[in-house]
Amino acid sequence: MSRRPYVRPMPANWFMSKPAYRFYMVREASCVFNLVYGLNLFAGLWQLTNGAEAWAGWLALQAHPLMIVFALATLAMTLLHTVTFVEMAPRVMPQQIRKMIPDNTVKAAMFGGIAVVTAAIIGFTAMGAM
Amino acid sequence: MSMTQAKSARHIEPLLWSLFGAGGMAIAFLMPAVILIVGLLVPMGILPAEVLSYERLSAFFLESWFGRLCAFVIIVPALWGSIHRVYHGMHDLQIHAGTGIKVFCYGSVLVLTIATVALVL
Repeated sequence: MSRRPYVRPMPANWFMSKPAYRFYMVREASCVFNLVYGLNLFAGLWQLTNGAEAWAGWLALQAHPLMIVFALATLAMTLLHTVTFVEMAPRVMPQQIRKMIPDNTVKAAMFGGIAVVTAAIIGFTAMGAM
Repeated sequence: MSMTQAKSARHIEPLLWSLFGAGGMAIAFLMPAVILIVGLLVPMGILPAEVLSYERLSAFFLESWFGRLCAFVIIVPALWGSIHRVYHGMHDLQIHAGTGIKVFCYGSVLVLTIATVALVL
């Protein structure tokens, strides 16, 4: 493709002009946290395949104060993602069973599903303490 | 759009967009619990360290098929969804990345996807 699309000049801080734009940028920033945390989890899986000592090293890294701060920030950004994702889901993909399902029903089902999955993961993990 | 473009071969964008959708879903449903346990509850001692012991997690994620599937679903869609948003977010920050950056972004995640499968198998 040999084309040079016209790029309309924009001030670099265009998103500071309206609250909605600022919120959009904060929400989009969550992807950076999720990317880094995804890489962290990949590293964890890798260390798990490298044996007990490597796994213990990765767990120790998770307990580093800076990592705990990062986990807190990532959790906050992830919850922002989760809430906005559920809020927009019925508008992006309207659901229909014979007639249109109200947006609030779809949202309630999704939040309920997230609560069940979260409880199941934490419950299954906590069983390891018994 | 010119005729040649309209007729040109299949585009990869719908595939990348589906992976982005899957990533948004996986992050929304799974990441809150994963980050809570791995990043906060165990490091802060609220849950005992045994819940993430090597014996337990290696048996689950590396030896059971359900566990392998869980490892894949937790890690891989999240990476595709995030890199898609990082790549397109650069545009919002006035960084107009070219094909090289695009190939690097998605290519890296493709490598990590294959590596994840290789690690659990």
